[in-house]
Amino acid sequence: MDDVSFDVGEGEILGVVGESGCGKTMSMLSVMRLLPDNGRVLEGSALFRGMDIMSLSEREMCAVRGRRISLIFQDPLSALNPSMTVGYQIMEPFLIHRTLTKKEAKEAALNLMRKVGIPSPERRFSEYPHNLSGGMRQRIMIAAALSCRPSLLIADEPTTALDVSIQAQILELLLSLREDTNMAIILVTHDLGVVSEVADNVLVMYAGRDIEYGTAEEVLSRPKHPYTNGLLRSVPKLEDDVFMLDPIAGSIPRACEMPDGCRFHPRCPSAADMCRSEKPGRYPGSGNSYVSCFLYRNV
Amino acid sequence: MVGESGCGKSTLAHSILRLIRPDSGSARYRGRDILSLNRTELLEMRRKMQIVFQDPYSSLAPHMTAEKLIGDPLRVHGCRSEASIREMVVKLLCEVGLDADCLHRFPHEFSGGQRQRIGIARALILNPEFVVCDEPVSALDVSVRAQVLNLMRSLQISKKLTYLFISHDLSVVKHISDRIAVMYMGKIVELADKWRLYANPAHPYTKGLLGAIPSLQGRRRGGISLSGDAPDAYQRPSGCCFRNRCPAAELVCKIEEPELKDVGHGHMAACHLQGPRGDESVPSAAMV
Repeated sequence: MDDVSFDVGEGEILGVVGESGCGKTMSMLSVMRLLPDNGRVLEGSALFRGMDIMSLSEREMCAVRGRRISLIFQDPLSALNPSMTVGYQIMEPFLIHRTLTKKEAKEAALNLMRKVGIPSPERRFSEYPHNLSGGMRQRIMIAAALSCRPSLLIADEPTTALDVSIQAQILELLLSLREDTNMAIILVTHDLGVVSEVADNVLVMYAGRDIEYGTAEEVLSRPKHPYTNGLLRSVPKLEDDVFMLDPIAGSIPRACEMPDGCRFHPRCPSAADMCRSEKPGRYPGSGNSYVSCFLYRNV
Repeated sequence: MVGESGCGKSTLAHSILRLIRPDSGSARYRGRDILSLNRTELLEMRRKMQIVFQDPYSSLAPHMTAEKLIGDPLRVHGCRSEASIREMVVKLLCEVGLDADCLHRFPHEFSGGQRQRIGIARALILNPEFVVCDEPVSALDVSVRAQVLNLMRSLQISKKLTYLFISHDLSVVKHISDRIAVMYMGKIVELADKWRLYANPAHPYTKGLLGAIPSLQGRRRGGISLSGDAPDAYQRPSGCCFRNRCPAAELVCKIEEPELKDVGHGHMAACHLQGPRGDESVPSAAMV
């Protein structure tokens, strides 16, 4: 990861897109201070309502996680505890953060289950994750994440493991929860269609860097960075019919062999000499948007 | 072949190739029932029918080099000359877009896209006529997925292949297919030419699926197009298996299981509410 920067406002949905290994999940885990043992934040800051998360003690951090910032993962089956009832897992944040008594917590958990659309919550409450379908499990995760009314929800590929019809239901749920609670959502995904449907702003990442940022409409309909452009052109579209797709040549560099200069240059159709040696800055476009590509340096 | 997880796409594909043995029924290839072949006949038939698996990570043996992985089908089918095996492997490697110096590399030395190219080469080394592609691009990233789809299309043309292409991704299926079958809970609920299917889906499940695809055209969100979950396969509802999620279900859907029937121009659908439509509804007896 190298010099990634983004912000998300109250009630905003920020889509973070990129292919596997581009650093989407690692950025989110750094913000939550949950990096695996082989990862470390060397420098930088993460400000949450003016408070630098990186400078908090582990104890202070525990009061933030799950209460003020929540995280939901891609695979609900491995993120939920198989030996605890789903009801208890939704109650747990209340009990850990000591905001409610056990009895109140149970009532609140049932309410949350209703809110996220779980049919007959009283019966489901005492069931285990393996009793539920993938979509239901993801709803349980969302309910648990929302229990303490966090002001920021980080959703890491929340619909990737789900079928399209269930994905549509979960996205609809996230949108309506945002409406009700005005929480900010960071939605990490590799699916440009998902971003286009729910996000307000989009951050495109490639090989550990952020390369383009702007409103969803702008980035997806008028992409600037050659990578964003290539990504959009490689997706088969329902509306039109092409005989051959237009893929990006080559493949994503490995973390241990990152190219110099612009990290996209070996795959870029418009790479110039400068791209091979110098790192592009962030060149602003309209509004808050920017693109990290020399093509737009003087635009 | 498109459908959501657990609807039986892979089971169907494996039964066709007799990788699993169905309880009943038949699978005919050029008129011969594959399920009644004996060992030798089956081996001979498998030359013509191959499969590309979904996960290029678990479907390649980690201790075998690319050369062995791709060349082994030839050895199984009795080719004894190592020199000619190598020659064929090298030729095919080039055709799938890999260099000859990949020969001695192991699967972990390749990226996901390259591994899938090896999987494709392995399926094509025997010059099959029919290839089952079981979610061949689902595990790949967007940019690499497009490369592999292009490769599969050009191989289809150059080698005159027939594909049974299985995917849960409706855009990918539409891109690569001529005809599309939609599966739900172990049944084909709709089967049509791709243009007809996408322009004019007949089955309510297909309509719902098409409505659920996220579109790049920005916010569409006309509410939820398919509510609820597919029922447990062990607790199939009576009648039509889609009826508990169907917005238009009627009494007949609860009683009788709909058959796959022609709803016009060869467009097949298994739905009670779709018959030969309006003025086209000439009873077939009258046509005789």
